[in-house]
Amino acid sequence: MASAKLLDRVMEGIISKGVLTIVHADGRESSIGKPAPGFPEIRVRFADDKVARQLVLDPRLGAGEAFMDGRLLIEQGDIMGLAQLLRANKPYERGVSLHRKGVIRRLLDRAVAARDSVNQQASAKTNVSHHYDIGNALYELMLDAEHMQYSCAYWPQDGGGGDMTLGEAQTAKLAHIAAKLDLQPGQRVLDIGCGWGGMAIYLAQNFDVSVSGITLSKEQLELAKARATEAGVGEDVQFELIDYRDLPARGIHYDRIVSVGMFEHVGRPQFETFFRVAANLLTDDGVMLLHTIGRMGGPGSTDAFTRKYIFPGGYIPALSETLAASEKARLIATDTETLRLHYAKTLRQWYAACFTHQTEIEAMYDARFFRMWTFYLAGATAAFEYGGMCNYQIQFARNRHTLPLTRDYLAENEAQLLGR
Amino acid sequence: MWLLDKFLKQAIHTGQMIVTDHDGKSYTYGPGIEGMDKRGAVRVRLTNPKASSHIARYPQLGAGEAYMWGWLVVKEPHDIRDMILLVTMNAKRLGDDAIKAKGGLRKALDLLVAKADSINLKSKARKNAEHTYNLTRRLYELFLDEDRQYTMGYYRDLDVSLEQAQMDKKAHLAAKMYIKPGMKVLDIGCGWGGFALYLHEHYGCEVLGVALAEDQIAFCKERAEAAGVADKVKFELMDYRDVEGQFDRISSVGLLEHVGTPHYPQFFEHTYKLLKSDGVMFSHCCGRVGEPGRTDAWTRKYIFPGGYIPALSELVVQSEKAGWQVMDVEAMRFHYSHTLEEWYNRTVMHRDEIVELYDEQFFRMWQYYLVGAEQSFRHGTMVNWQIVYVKDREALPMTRDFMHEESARLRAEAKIPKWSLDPALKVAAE
Repeated sequence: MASAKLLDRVMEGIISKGVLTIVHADGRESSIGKPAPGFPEIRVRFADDKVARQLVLDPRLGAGEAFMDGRLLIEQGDIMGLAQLLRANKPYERGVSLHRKGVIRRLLDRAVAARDSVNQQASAKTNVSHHYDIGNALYELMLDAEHMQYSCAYWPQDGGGGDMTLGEAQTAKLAHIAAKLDLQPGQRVLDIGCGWGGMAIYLAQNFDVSVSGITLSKEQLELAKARATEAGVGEDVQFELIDYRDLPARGIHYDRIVSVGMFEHVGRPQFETFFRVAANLLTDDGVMLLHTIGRMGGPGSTDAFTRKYIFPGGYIPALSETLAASEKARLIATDTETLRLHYAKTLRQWYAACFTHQTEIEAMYDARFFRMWTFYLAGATAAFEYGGMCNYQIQFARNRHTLPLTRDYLAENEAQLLGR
Repeated sequence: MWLLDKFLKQAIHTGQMIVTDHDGKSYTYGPGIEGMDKRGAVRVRLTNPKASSHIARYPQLGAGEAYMWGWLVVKEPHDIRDMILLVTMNAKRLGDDAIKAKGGLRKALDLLVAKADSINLKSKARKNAEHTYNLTRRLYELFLDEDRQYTMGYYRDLDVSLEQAQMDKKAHLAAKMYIKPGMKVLDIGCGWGGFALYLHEHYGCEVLGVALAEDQIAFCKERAEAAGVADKVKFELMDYRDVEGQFDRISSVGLLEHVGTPHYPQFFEHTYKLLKSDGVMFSHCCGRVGEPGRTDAWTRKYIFPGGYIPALSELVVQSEKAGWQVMDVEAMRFHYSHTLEEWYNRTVMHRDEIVELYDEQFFRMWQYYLVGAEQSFRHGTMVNWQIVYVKDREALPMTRDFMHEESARLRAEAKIPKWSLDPALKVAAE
């Protein structure tokens, strides 16, 4: 019972706006915080007295596992609301961490994260399978039907973006990235981490280019191929199951490299390898566009829940370490853009789509999986809205003469693609 | 001569250079001038027996000093700029390392000196700034544009005047700062005040400009008085570390080059304190592509003591530690080489007057500095970083469209002044 009291105290330290009501295992109710506009009111019930202890030991992993197992029940509101309530009270900008860990705990976390993110080629494949070979069906239910993009969409309509559909926002994202690639007719493009082929297909449809997409997921590969054929660009687009590190041995060079949502899986120990390989794969006047989730602030480590259940081997990079690794490969960061809040909007759409298809998803897996998945989406949303997560788009050139001398071409290319 | 001979034999693969040593012996390098230079080979005369070994032993410093001291003379119709651009263009072909291949000890020593040099204590910072900027305002008037912008212009088109390029630069910077009328702006390293006055003119904001060079501040104040805006645009001779208060926007243009790596943490921490929570900070500085390196000996000794040109990662890593969020980085390529070429031309145009203000040796040093900088932006590894920082992710709109649109709006609004020292204007007046 000591941990129940301790947990109350911890929560009181976090929540001042909005309300969290906890019904403890022994029936005792504690209500924390005060109603405030924009802050949710959430009521949770703990099924047994271990929940409080789990939460005190590791809030994110503990909450995740208790929620998954159905021992942390949400009686009012939902998991999205709970994540928001906790994060919004301690936004990243205020410089206060949700839970200050002891030195040993932090060292241990870092050691595990470091071990996990070494990503040798054999484990890279296992890690990717873990997340992506759980079946295309789930992603088909959750993502936009147009492009099946499993990365941050782009919501250019200022203020709300409410009048854009997820599909439109993903089209806008593809156009935004394509504009930065400054594609010329006849070019050869490599898409590292091609997912279900949405980017490759879009580029082939809109430009006179040939695209090679690579992935480590079998499930993705097959669907990507089918989608390209269906889109009528089967000739210009090729997909292959291969590790990017095996490509340089072939001696083929690419005019453009695009990598969207893949760098998160590379892992810090492999950053330099990634950029060295990319630089070697590019032609002398090649350009690469890297789109990745990023952490604000300095380097850190992946949290235990994400590491265990969602992205083993993954690591969200700080901008500084990404740039430092790229400088060693003599890649010039010609343009860097930080997308904020775009990913939160995207995640909220995915979250909503999951609930629309809750019955189907639970039938495919089980209720526990559904809770795990929605916990992950809710946690990620809160991290982009109030935590230290953002999205970096970095354009690299090998040669300073390659791109136009002003950024005007970006707006022009984008307007042309979107018919604005 | 043998060491220099060996270096030049290896280095020159295009164009042609003929070196005549002090003893009258001539050495020819490079295949010829076809397709390159209609004026013939670049001819260089060494007037002092020590010149060749001085250049060969200290590649970065030696040539500059030899030229400055009159040990190295470039024969007309060419000049020192032609010689430097020829050598560095060839060096680029060899790869970036060719020109700075040095022994381990030499490198370590250079690095040590560079490190020691870039520790800018407050008193020393002022001395360093004075070294560069108190040369007298007349010198700067002779080679800068009408607004005395002492940073790169924004050459959207190579045919435009320096005055236009500088005006477009100010528009580009201002656009990125997302300024609203009435805001309070701090301009750190305000130079001759042009940007501060521009911001007030276009947004009606209150601006405080600070700098460490006395004559710059005096000049800034005169300008603000003359424009009748001295109550809104203020200038102070002070270290930015002594500034207090809260600002909506902070700009620093061409300042971080002088701050020095050891002081980046202090820079980012202090500016963080000075900016409101929903504020925006913009910084523009020279940068190096590739990994962190060091300032070359020539620039350290003669031009910017205490200065250091940062790699992008060096700036970002320190800004992250202080809590900044980097929103946007644009690498500006070649704009500075075009700017420096025009500064060089204007300097040479006023040779007699500059020699009269100082002496021959100073003129040659200045020439060498400008062309050395030009070559590093043209053939070397220098660029400019324009970085937008915020403290809160909601401080800026969702997309960057505003930068593009505002820059265009400001450009359309601007009236481009004529350079008052333009020889064409003088002729017309007579």
